[in-house]
Amino acid sequence: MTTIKRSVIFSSLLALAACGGGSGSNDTATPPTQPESACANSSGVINAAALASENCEALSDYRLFQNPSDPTRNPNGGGIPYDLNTPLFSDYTSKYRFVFVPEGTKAAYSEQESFDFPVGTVITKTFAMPADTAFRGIDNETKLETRLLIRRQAGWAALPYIWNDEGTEATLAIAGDSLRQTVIHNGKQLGPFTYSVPDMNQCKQCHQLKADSNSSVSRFEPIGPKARHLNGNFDYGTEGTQNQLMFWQQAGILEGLPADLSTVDKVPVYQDSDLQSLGSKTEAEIQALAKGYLDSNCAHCHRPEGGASNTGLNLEYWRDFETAKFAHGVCKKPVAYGGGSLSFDIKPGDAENSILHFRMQATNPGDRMPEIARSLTHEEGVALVAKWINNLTGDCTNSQP
Amino acid sequence: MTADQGKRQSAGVIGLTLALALTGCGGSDNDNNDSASQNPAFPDDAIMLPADDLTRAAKEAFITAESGDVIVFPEGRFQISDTLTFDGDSAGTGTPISNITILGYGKDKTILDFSQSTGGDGLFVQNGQGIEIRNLGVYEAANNAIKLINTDGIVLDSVATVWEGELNKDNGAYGLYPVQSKNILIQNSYVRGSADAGIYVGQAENIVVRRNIAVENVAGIEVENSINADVYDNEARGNTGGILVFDLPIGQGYYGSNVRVFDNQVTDNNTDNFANASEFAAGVHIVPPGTGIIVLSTPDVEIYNNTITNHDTLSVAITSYLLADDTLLTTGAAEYAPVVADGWTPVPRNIQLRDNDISESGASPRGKLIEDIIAGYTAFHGGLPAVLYDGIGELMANSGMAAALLGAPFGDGERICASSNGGVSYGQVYGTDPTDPANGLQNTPSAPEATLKFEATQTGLLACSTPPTRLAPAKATINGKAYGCASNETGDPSAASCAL
Repeated sequence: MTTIKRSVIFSSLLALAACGGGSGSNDTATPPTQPESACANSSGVINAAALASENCEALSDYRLFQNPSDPTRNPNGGGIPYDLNTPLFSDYTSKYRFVFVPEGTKAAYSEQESFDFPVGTVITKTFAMPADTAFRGIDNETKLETRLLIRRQAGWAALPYIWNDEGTEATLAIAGDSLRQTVIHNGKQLGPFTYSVPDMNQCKQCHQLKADSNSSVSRFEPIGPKARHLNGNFDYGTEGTQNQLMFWQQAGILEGLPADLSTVDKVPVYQDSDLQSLGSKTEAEIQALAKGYLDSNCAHCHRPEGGASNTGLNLEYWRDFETAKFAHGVCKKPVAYGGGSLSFDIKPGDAENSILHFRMQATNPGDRMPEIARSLTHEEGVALVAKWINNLTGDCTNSQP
Repeated sequence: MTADQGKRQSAGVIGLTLALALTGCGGSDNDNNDSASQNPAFPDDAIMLPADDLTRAAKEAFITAESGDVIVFPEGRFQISDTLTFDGDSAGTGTPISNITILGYGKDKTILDFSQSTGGDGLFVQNGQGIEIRNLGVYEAANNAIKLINTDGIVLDSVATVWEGELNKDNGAYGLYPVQSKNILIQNSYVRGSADAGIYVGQAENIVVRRNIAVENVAGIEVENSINADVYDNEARGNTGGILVFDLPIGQGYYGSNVRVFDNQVTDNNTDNFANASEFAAGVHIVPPGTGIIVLSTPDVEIYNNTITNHDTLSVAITSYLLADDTLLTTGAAEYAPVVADGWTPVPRNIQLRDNDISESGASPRGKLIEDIIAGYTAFHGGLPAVLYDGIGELMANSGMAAALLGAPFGDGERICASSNGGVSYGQVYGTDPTDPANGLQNTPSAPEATLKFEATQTGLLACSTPPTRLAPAKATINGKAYGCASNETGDPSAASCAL
């Protein structure tokens, strides 16, 4: 069993959560860190009172990590690190994710959606830019930003914190920022380019979920922590390498996991280094990889309940391709995009003439997809999707009458 | 207005009173001046954004906005470095903040220039309730100028969305772009240069679009997959296509009906499509250059008392989706079936075209989508008719051969009717009677044959013995106030249009 400590401090968080989703602190005229602010509260390992109610100026005010300037390891209060099998591409940054679920509460398992996390849950994701992607690891990287998702009484709050140049302090930047960056990838320098830290309203552009495409209520939802993305191994150090879902269940932060893990959907792992092995994959494997990649990079918007529901392009991993090719974009003309010289979202067998491929490759703001939070082309992701499209057969014709 | 008055008079008695009543309408006779914005008065508690670091200031004001806020952009032209995103319900509670007003000093005085922005859209609003944007211009956005999604209550008043300079494919897609939203008023605005549609209302309902000027876009004004829309007293000129009423197979449960297009000036829409060169164009890019008004697939549309003049190809086209994609009944049938099950109708029904003043049509017809039709009409009739109906959807529906996709045979009250549109020519590509051998369905193998019907002046084509029932007027209710012909508003400059 795990030895991860769970702090009792979370019980006070529940009591305080009633003051609501940051409403007390969303006034720019008022400095967030007033003397009476919970951000200055020093009791407890984690500052649960502040997490529950305040958008603190300094990330360190929440005391989520033992070393306030290192959000990549040693979480306080029972935080658990996790990874996704195939992550969202973010300009070749490394990402360090932790989930903190209050003692005595559990996230409810969901087959398809992000788990239903209890009030008081915090998810942190730190983006760090390696000097060279061949040598990742925080010691070779520059911390850019740490994003917090805090499950408050009123719903999720999303807070972007930007690290100072020294990497000692991260400060709340509700309006986001543009950071000039370079990175060496496969021996080539990319950039300088603009790494965009989304503003708070842009967070929800991706992090939203409606009950259906006709619903007007758009909840804020985490994107990554879905069963199919977590269903894989993670190296927990002294506790060995374990399946993340099993680990979460044993740690007492997840309930409802099916007893038979083999029944749980699993997005296949695709990391940049996997590009080399695409040549030895079967077409079915390529399709599963591509659909997994599109799920984590596109389907949070491109689904009937998402922000791009108006496009008619639906790319969830679980959606059956054979019976829903049109929804996947095959021979589908775009709804909200002129198309340039291209006609179809996906033209089977012809990635170069498929809009989906073109927009993944594009970096100019009018064409690129995803529309926000990406400046570079993800060569490995584009190559995977190209290979998948080039494997597809069929012909999109409409001869004119 | 003199020439216009003359044309209106020829359309009938009511044309004269209309023209007189509209003489005072400022919106349709100048492009970029707005007397209402000369001396803007802002409420005392308005949030006045500073000119300095405007992008950040605007973002912070949007992020921290509370119900009732009035946010004012400064006077001048400013480089904005990212999309300005407003989310009415950033916490996702289902109870959005409401009544947010975003102002400038005039659509030619406050110009937000996105040419250097890292974001695709200019202003982007989602999950809002009661959003009013007035008196500002959004220029050179990479993608869309002002996009709003999932928002109930939208006023876009006296705004400009502009791509300057030569028209080219790198211009943004949509100017004013509310989508999957409801209760939408767009008025007194100016849209120029968009590579898709200048004003595009999509997957929406309760829509009033009036007194706008749409110039030199691919599509001037487009209502797509939308319900209860009134488009009136606008000017659409110099676009590829003037005003479009489209229903596309999107598959997300939003399909259009009850759209009225009336009392608009639709002129000189002869600009070549400057955006899309694809083999099988999508959306508005199928529009043949030189087209005034197009109805594609949408049922329940009433087009009346418009002036439609000087179009190289067609003045009015009414067509089923079979014209856009003739694989619908063959190789594409399997893909379209779920969309039809979702509610989409490929064949338009209950369309009325009446009392329009149509002139100067078909001087230089072109357009890839209809090149065979152009060739056929040119060969047999010396040119295209001013009003063209495809007929193929109705023919196939009447045959009962594809009822699952096209619906039942046309019944009373579902016909395509035209009357009193002046002495213009009419055409119908296919006959609609499946038992008429000329239409080809009696042949073996059975295949529809284009008969290219043509009447130099209307005698039988699209003539209905009983006129269709008039459609209900629309209204849009925003922040408790209702606008449009179905509302009780008084003193609106376009009130005379509603009386037509």
